[in-house]
Amino acid sequence: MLFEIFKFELKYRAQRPETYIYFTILFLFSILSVDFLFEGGELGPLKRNAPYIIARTMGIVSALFMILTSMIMGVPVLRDFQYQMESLLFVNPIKKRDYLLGRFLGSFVVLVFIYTGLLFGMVLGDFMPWHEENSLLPFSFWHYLQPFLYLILPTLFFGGAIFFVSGALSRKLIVVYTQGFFFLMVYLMAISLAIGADDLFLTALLEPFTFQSVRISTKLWTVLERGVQLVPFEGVLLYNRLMWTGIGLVALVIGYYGFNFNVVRDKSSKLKKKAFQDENVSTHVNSKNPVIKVQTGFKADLVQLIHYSIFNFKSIVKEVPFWTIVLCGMGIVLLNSFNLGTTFGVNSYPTTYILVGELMELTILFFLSIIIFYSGELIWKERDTRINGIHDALPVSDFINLGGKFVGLILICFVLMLMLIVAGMLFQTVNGYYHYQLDVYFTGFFIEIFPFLFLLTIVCFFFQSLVNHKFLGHLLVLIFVFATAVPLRVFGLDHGLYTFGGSSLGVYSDMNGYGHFFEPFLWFKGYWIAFSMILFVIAVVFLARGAETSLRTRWNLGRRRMTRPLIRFSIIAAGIFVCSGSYIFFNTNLLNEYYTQSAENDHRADYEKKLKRFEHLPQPKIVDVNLEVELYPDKLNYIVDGYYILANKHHLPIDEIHIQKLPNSQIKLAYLDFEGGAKSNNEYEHFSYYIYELNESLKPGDSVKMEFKQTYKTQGFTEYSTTDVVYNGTFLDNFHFPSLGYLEDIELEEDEIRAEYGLKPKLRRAHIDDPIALLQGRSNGDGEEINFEMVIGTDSSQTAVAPGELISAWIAGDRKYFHYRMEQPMSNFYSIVSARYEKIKDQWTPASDHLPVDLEIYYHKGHEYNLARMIKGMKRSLAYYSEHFSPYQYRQMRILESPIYKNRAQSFPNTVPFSEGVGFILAIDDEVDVDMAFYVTAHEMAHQWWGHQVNPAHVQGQSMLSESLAQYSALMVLQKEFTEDKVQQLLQQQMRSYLKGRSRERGQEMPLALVESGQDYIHYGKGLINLYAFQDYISEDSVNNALNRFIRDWDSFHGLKKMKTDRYPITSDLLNYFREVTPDSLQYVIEDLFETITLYENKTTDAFYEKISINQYQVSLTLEALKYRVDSAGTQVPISSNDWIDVGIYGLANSGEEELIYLEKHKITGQQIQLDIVVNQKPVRAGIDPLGKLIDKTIKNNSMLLSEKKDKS
Amino acid sequence: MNSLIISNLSKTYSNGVKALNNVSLEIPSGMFGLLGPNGAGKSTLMRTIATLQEADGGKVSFGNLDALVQKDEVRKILGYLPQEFGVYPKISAEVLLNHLAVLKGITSRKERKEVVEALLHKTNLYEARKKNLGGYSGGMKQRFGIAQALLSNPKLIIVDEPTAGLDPAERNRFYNLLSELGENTIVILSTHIVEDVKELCTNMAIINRGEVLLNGNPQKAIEQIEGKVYSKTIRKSELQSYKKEYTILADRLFQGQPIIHILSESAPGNGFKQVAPDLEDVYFSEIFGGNSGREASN
Repeated sequence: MLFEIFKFELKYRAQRPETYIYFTILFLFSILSVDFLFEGGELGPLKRNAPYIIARTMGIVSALFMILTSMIMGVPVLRDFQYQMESLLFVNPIKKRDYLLGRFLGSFVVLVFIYTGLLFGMVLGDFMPWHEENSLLPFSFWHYLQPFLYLILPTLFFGGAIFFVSGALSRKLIVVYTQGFFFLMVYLMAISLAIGADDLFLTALLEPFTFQSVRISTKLWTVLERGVQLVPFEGVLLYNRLMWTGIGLVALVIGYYGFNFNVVRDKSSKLKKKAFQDENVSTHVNSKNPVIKVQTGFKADLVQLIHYSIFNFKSIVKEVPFWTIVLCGMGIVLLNSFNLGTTFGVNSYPTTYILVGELMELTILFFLSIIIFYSGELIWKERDTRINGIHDALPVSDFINLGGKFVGLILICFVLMLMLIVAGMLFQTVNGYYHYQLDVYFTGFFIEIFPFLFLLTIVCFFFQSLVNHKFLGHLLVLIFVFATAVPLRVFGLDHGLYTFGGSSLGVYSDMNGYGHFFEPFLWFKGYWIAFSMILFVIAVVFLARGAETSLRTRWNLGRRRMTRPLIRFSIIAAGIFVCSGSYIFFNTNLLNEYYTQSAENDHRADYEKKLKRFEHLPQPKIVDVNLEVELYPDKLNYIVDGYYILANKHHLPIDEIHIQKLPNSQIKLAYLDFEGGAKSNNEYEHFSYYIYELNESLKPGDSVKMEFKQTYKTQGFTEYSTTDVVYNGTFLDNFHFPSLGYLEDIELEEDEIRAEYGLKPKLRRAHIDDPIALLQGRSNGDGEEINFEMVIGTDSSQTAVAPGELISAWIAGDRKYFHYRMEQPMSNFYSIVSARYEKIKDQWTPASDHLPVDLEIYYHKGHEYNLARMIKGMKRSLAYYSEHFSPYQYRQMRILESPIYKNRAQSFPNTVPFSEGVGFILAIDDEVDVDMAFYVTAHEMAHQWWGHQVNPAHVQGQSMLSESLAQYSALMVLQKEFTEDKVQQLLQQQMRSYLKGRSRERGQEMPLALVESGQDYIHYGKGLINLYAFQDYISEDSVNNALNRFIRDWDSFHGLKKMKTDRYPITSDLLNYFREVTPDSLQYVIEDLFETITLYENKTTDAFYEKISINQYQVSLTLEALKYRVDSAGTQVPISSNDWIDVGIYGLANSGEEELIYLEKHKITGQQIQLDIVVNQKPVRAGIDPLGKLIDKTIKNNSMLLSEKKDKS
Repeated sequence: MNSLIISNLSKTYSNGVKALNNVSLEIPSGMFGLLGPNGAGKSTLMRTIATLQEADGGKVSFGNLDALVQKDEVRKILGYLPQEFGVYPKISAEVLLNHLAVLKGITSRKERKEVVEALLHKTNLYEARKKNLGGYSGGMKQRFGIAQALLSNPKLIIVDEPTAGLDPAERNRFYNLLSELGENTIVILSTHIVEDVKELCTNMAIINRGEVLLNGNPQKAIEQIEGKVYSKTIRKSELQSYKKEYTILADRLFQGQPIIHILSESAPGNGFKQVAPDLEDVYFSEIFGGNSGREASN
């Protein structure tokens, strides 16, 4: 019998067109899935058919197409009830087991068949002719089949089982679909567990679709491994699959016992019916119908629309599944809203804009689901309840019919958004934050997000109406959402006029609000909303009404629905569409310049091909900068005029000077003149590159004055607005102004794109021996040391700041002027900042006879939280660095809050623009957090030494000399001020970021001393860890001693060695000072820490202790120490170890917490070591490098709990 | 008052079933019965008039309305009770009736309240008006259906098989309701139950396989076969041989024995007794009898 039922199910499905439609959709989608899901640079260095990519793609697709699973698996039992077959069926002598199992297995086989579309689609996708040969690995079917069997089949099984059981038990389709939200919820919960967590095991275990689990379980793989290795079906991935398969089995068991093999199961409802029937015995009242008037016209239409909207709104609100979804969403918000974590591992204050962002991010999937799901439900509402016979014959227009459903759903979104706002405010209140910004809430939800929901709803209605098949409609919407988000961008077409929905609003800044982003945003949304109105009219035309469903008949009928008002409506919509589109085009493409990505690439490639030959042309250096800057923040304009003095520091005369204006159509050079005159050659004007032939050549040692005036003008708008000049919080740097010679920054970056233009891969940093690059510091060869003077005019409500001393400030009309001058030469690196600031002042007095230093913080009103921490950071840093490295060179130190657009802090001479998102709104809890406001301040302060005293050469290792040394310096200051715990906390956080960073490396991981650009994980993460380890080996004083000598010799302005050479210092210079202070026995660590990539896999394999006398315990440890080097090919090679490594033993402190009672460096030779150590306190845990000072992928196993050794018996 | 004129209406479904074949009818005010067996094309015809289905050819006009084109105009004067319909189960009769009233264009709140109340009384649902429709019995639901059809004082009422599945008491109640509909209204009632037409209709048509077999006044139709119907109680085993010999209109069982009615121009003898024909005989004579009298004069 089981087999009969199984066969019946298969036969039935084989005849259903859906089976093949679903297969085809999945198949076609899978062909392109990798291109969709890993667009642009997402693939990175991986081949598109790398096993890792295949596994993740399959996981994601299986999640997206969960709806297919529900369509197939939810209905087999339900079907019998829906078609009222149950009475006929259940009277037959079928066993419950046979019935359920047969139906389940039959449907499951069909489901697997449909999903082979994924398997074969992906295989075929990789054979598509447009892929380049070298973007693929050699074909192996196993690479596809393995994840399909191990990852996808279990997903199908548990998904299918849950859908099947929920369908069988509830006998309601809607319950089946709500199960989809269960998976979504579990997924989101798993993801939310990952936020801010160190250990991702739980996330990887729970995540139902495994594409995150795959990522987590291969987290520490190198790129090389990820490129070729199969994702192993072991560890957490195996547990995950076993757990979910188990859940599927449990569901089936529950389903078996819960399923009632009777026709009627709800007795109470039957009783109710009975009770009802008796009421209608009385005779009817013979009454005449009251006189009524049927209203038509606009007013009646409006009443109908409002009524019908509310009716539909209420019908959703009344549904249990709706509330289930809402509760799930709220649950997610509750679970998550505590994650306000920043990159520093410290929470921010729950400011409104952060909460809006968080809330939206957490709930957007729920909004999408509700919209997609309920648009289908609403469109099919009448047909599903079979009231359509009555409803369709009502004299209500199709426009109002669809409009009422639409508005009803929109009202739902409104209510949900209001609920989220309330939730946000509650959360703020609970956290003691009372600065509710209702306007920000409103803007965030109703202006930023709402238009998207609106457009999506219309798209859903459009598809539902057009295809007239609920599930197909859902599916098409999903595909549409993906398709519009991705492929156009893949082809470099990214203009908001043809990417559905246009761009997003852009970042909110407390300082600048939404700034000037509003205008383009509203235009684009207006444009797309007009477009969606046209879609809506099409939906009205094709909406099925009555018994006719074929597309052609619906079209014939629909044409008649184009009544005059509807035609008028369409014409208006089309008119707005065309007009707003034209206006946008006028602004973005005529008033401003718009380049598609490919046009921009062409331009960059062309620049390199034509002008690269000028790269090493001798050019003079800027030695003097004297500028007057007029900022007009309300108009987003500036005018700068003034002069540079250029000096010829070469041995040959210079005849032509090459000027590069920033290639930005908003920037114009009004004039540029050289003292003594020059002829300008505008041959390369399209590159904003001008060659001036000097009338008199510039002799070696001579200098020339270059006067210029540059304007920056904002006209109209662009889609993605620039954020340099804004209403409040302008932040410019010297790279905005004319520079000398070929500008390498314009070159294309990515190897793949460069290859398309026949360009060789670009060096990420010049080789450490590159003789020309050695002569350059951070300023691209424009001259490194300058005298600086600047007058900035700005709006009278703002304060403008540049490096130097404020000589004077005055008001002229409605403008304020500030005159800055640096007393001594400084780096050619300056900022111009202007905003409405509050200010606090302080002073730091050095121990020696130096003059006091004025400290200032310019901040945005309301951001007072961490000012004291920053001031303390400034003072402690100045004290430590002056004592150990060299005296502070300036008389002032300022921190300036800058808008969130550049979300970092940056150190200019005596001036640090510090983003509002970085330190100002951190809610630092000294119990648990590292004081990152203090630390980041100390880091930026350190750059006044490592950057502005020592200017490292523009070659490999440059950022070790600036960033790693700043990290080290800041850590030393932190160590003095805070407890050891905080230091460990910071180190561990940096260890994670290093390990994560190296696993994402697209190019080659470099040793610290040769770190290249874009390798933050090395110069910040590894730099901090290894310099900390280094001072742990040779002592803090020795390191500082070396650094002191390094500055003494290499200070840009009076360094002993620097004064004798034109070149700038490199890491090997620093390492020489390190070697000087390192004992012979430890010289090897310099090679390990700085010159090579060295990793350890330290492990304690056995640990026990024995009490040998009253206060003496002997700890016996078996340790394993593996040491690796990573070679230039990225391969990890074991090397023999002969190292000094920490061995630590923990006891219990009085507080009950573990406490180190023993920590000594032992010479570890060979891989297996036995150690016996006697301690005088009861030990609990012990191991090798227990603090994780050395780089080790798994620090957890470094130590283990001790067990007591029993007497040998 | 206008009558509804159907001329040469045809409809073939995509599966090849010819549901309407050149149907022409003139339906005057009053109750009009559309009689025919299951699958005769009644519902197709009703749906077509009710603007819910397209015809392949032909015309339906009501006064100067072209009912196949000016659908919205027709819907404004239409009350339609489909053969099968569902209701929102979690909504009360009052709320749903009110809802439908708005959509019918009764936008004045006061008028709506009055008409809803009146109809609830009329259909005897007033007591149960606050109850959810999900708990209604078949008869109550059917009465609710007629209530909604009457909402906007329609000039054209179409009720498709309204009595199917109702018990005799409910059916009676339903008849009473229908019979009260104003004389100036066209009420088209489709049914396969001869009784319905006999009790209610002043005019009728019999259709089968998409064709009109008879159109006219039921009484006149009965008169046409007056004196031609004979009856006899026979044994079951004899049924086949009688079927060969006579045009059998009906074979009914009475206490387990078949009573057959036959149509005969002259007295057949053989134990047959002349009986007064009823509408059922007319019906069966049309469906099975191949009776030549297609058009009964009014």
